[in-house]
Amino acid sequence: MPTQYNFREIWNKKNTDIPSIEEVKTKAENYRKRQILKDVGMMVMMFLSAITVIIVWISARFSFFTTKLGIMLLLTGVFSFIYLIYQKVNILKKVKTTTTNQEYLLTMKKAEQQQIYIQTRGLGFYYILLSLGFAFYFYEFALKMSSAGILLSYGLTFSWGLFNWFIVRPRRIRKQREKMSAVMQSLERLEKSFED
Amino acid sequence: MHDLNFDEIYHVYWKKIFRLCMGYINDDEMAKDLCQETFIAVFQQLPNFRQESNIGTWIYRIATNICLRQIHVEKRMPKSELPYQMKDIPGKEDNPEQEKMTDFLYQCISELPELERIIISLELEGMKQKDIADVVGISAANVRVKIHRIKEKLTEKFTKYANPI
Repeated sequence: MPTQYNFREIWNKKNTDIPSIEEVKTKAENYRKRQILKDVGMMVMMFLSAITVIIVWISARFSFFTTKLGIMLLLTGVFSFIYLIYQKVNILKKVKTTTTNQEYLLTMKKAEQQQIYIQTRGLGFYYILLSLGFAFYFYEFALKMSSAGILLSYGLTFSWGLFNWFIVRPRRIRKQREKMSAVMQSLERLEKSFED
Repeated sequence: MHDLNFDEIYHVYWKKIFRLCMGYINDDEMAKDLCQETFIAVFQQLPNFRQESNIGTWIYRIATNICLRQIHVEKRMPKSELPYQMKDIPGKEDNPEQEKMTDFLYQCISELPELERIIISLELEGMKQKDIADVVGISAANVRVKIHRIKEKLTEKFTKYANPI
């Protein structure tokens, strides 16, 4: 016959000092300021990138429209990549903690899936922009080159594009998925424990 | 209840939330961090708190969700399977028996599946089963069944601990 233990009494014996409330308030305030700073920083960066694109468009002394277009595509690619990295951090923070555990896990799972989708789609978009950007950018210079030069510059650009698309991109996507799948598995395991 | 005062909430709930986090993670420093994270969230979200639910339920929801978020942080660090004896904690060799029992209880709870850790911690905090159901998001009947099962598991571990072969 097992002994009956008074778990509540044992549980309540755990004691510790309450830390200063000021520390929590200061941290909350600092956290809020950092958030604002990050959001403002992001907006400033987006604004600056738009300005850069406009300046390049107006001041670049290229006679061909395709060269300017190429530079813009390249810049857009780079800025959207930075934006993606920022988004990665942001999505999970948007999950509300005041809901029930079950709802919280569901939203967390959705956010994870959304993150995987954005990261993989976004990566594809980034490579397309970069490859198109280079292709357009080189057009003006290629016209001044010999046929061997054209072949070489375009050949190299496209091999670089293909290498990225078929080797680098799948590798990055796989790494992303691996990182997330451990979390997803834990989330699914937790989800099941609600049904038991 | 219009005068929801953060200072009062902090002093009433800090130890309760600390115990909950300890049950979840069984590490003093990490539990304090989780506890602090909870109160930062409470401080920030208190102005948005609508009196639809009880303030306690609301705080416990935040705390338990912050604990669950650990999935991202700890990357499933496997907990070592501990035999039914205490881990060696430096400086605690001459603890009274009561303190050892308390440490053992927190250790046992932290080894349970996440959901069970939360349910039993809330139960031991004296929360009503209906309110636990409201925090976790399952039915009160299910909570009752789970509490019964968890207590059985804990009793078994405690019996083995008290009577090692």
